[in-house]
Amino acid sequence: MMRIITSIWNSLKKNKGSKINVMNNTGKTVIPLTPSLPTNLSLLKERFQDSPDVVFREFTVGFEPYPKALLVYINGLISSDVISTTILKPLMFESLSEQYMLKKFQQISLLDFIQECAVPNSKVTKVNSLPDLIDGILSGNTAFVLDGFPTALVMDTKGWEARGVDEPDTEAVVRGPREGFTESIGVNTALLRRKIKDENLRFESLNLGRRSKTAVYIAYLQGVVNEKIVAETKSRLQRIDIDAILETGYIEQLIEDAPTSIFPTVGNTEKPDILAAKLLEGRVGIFVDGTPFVLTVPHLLIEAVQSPEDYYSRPYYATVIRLLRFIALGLATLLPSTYIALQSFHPEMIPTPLLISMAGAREGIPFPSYMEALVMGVIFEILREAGIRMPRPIGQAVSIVGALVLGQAAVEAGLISNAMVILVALTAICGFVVSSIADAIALLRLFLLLCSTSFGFFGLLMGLLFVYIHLLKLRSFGIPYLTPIAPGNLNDLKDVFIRAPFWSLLTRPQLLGQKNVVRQKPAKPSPENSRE
Amino acid sequence: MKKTKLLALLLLLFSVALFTTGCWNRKELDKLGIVSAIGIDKGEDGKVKLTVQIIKPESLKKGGGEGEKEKPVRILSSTGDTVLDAVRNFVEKSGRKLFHSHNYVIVLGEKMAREGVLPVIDWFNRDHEMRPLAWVMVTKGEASDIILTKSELEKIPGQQIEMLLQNYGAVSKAVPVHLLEFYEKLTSESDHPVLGRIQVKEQIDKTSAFEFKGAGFFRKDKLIGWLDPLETRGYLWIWNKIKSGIITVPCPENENKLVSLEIIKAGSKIKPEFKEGKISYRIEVKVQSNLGENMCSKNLAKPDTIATLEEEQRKAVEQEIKTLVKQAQEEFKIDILGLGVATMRKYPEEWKELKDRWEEEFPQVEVEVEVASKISLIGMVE
Repeated sequence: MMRIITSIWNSLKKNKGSKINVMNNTGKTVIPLTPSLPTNLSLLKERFQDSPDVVFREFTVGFEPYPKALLVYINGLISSDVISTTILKPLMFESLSEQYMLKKFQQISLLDFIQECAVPNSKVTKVNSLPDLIDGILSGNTAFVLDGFPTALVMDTKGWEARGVDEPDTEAVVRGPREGFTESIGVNTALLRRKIKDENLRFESLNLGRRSKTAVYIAYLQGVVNEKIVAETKSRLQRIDIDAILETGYIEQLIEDAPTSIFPTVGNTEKPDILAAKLLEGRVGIFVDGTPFVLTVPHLLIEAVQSPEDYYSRPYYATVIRLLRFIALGLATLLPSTYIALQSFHPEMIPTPLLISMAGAREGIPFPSYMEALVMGVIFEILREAGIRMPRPIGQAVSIVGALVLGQAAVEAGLISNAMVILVALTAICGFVVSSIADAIALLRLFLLLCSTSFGFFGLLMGLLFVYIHLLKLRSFGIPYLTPIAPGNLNDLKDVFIRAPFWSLLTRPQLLGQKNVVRQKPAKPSPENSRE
Repeated sequence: MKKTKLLALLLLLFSVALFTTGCWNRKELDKLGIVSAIGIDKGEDGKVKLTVQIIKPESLKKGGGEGEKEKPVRILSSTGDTVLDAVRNFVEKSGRKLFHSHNYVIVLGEKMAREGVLPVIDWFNRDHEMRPLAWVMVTKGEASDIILTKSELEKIPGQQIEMLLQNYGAVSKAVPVHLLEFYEKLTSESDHPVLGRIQVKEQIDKTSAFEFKGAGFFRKDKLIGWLDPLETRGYLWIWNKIKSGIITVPCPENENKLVSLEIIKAGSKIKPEFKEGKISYRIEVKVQSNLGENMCSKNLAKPDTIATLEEEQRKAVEQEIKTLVKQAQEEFKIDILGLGVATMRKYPEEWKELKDRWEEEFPQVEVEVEVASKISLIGMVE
């Protein structure tokens, strides 16, 4: 045993200067604890290398046979209230009746006695090996090491500063729940549980990231979900071998179907109600500790134009809005390229009065129109990026520079035609309407702009065909990306271009939830139904 | 690996296309001379003289103070051996290549028209830029005078002319003809084209304005005479081109006072008939109108008065048609009535034999006119 310890000690010393630390605790070699407290203490101290946030608290247990004990925890990850009330106070001061203790000692050991009878802590687990003990300490628990036992207890004392449940900045709604996920995975799963109180809501946990050991939960509704998708999700997650998972984006990029496509095949949301709705349609959710974004798979193109408010408001207006989003999607992708194709290649297609005013706007502009479109498009993307990254107080300056200097002044100076400014602004606004695929659209817009600049409508058409074929080929976890438009499904189309009323949305999306397809019984509300 | 190479190649191709100046067929709007009207005249030494109106988009920009005073169009003329030659010669003067896709107005000068338009009209049909739906019209005098005239209501004279032709229906006393239709009639074996006539007249405010009224008729491609406005309406009746217009008939009680009837619906059919080897025609016209105005005091709401008015209307329309038929048969001796077309459609076999001597036959054929007249509404007062 000493050989192993010294070999670890040596390897640690050896690696001190090198950049890459070999992780020995992921291997199968288990380093057991020793019965001697000082040895255990020095083992731990060696591993933590005198890190200032690791606290070693030695004390003497306040009852027979007054053994020495050690608490190890990381400052900031624990709640000192919980430690003192559930560990220190009962072990040091609580007087237990001797009779009871004697009786107990005949049956169990001191450590078992402490675990069973002495500490009023909510979660106490026994740990035999050093790596397990360290994992426990690193995730915010407190290690309790008792002299004379090669086994330690890990007690739940997690308590760190966390953001409360807040309204998310993305996915804002006018009507609908305001709560959003937080950075803490426990809160997030609880938020979901509160939406779906069904024992079939399953969570499966795994730890990903060799160094970060991030908790990742897969959530799904047993009986609704397609088991194949769950299995596929699990196998893809298990394949991940990375040193750290800092955000769901890491996982998204490591498990997506088409890593080279500009279209996202994994969705994400920050809101429990959206996640609940997606699970109820048979999707799988992936929670990651430390981020409020939860992934949903499979993700289809149509989800970009669906909003939770479509379902919270009455179907008629929701349908109109849905159609408007389709129009916005079309405008955001096609407007600049169509404009260039029309005015540079096919001016005969523009109505005469419009052509004259367009030509008037272009008169005296030094750049060809495609250059204008490209430059304005790039400037807009820069402005948007600046808007996100800059410190809040500078915001006004940027918007003044953006709107006045780049917009108005450039037009007045005759550098950019005002038609182009209108066009870029309209395109940008339309892009925000379908914000979940805004990045894909921005790239697509650029691609189509190049197509139409080179070959007019012919090029635009070829570019569109290329994109269309690509979309048809794309799959997300086995589900074709354009479902339910292609392959078509008449029943599912009730929730694509229109949002049919709930009383006619009787089934779940077919390809996703192949089990338990019926969502509800026919329930068109009418006074006759309630009379019985 | 292959994919990446392909992608890189595609990207390279695109960027090359983007940054080489000679992008195929790409032209910026501000490099085009947008033509709004073109006039064709006979030049010296048998050359073709073209006059064009080129829109100056700059002057039509909103808000520019100086732009208001600036002339909205530039007028240039050019001569050449052929039309295409003349068209290309414009570039010597304008620098910009002329762009004809938004030209809706083609004016033929009288001199050119009388000598024959077939040689000059070919380019307009052959070139891909010209619109088949551009209007063709003829003027008494030089076409360049029409192109030179300024317009007041519409900023661009060409658009003013286009408006006149589009709204001919309110009066129905001139013939709007598309380039395509003109060409069809030119090349047809039985038909002769008739074009609307455009003139410039001085108005009360001392400015001159266009007037689209009457028509000129052709023997094949040569202009041979003019129709006055009422004869023109006779032509429109027969060709089923009446949209609206006013028919004035005498008041039932007072011959000197008039009643105006507004045409709201009109239709016509030419029915040829072979009887004992001789062909005769019946032109059936249906007209429905509303009572628009009454100059006398008689109550017109009574059924028998209405019947009298309907009879008057019938006579008036019949008169308009018969005048034209008579003139065409006796004076011009050419078939602009479409009788040949109707015969060809109904009796294709007989027509093959008839068409060669149609010129001699036409003045003698019997033409009957039948008008069904109806008045439906009488307006807001009795």
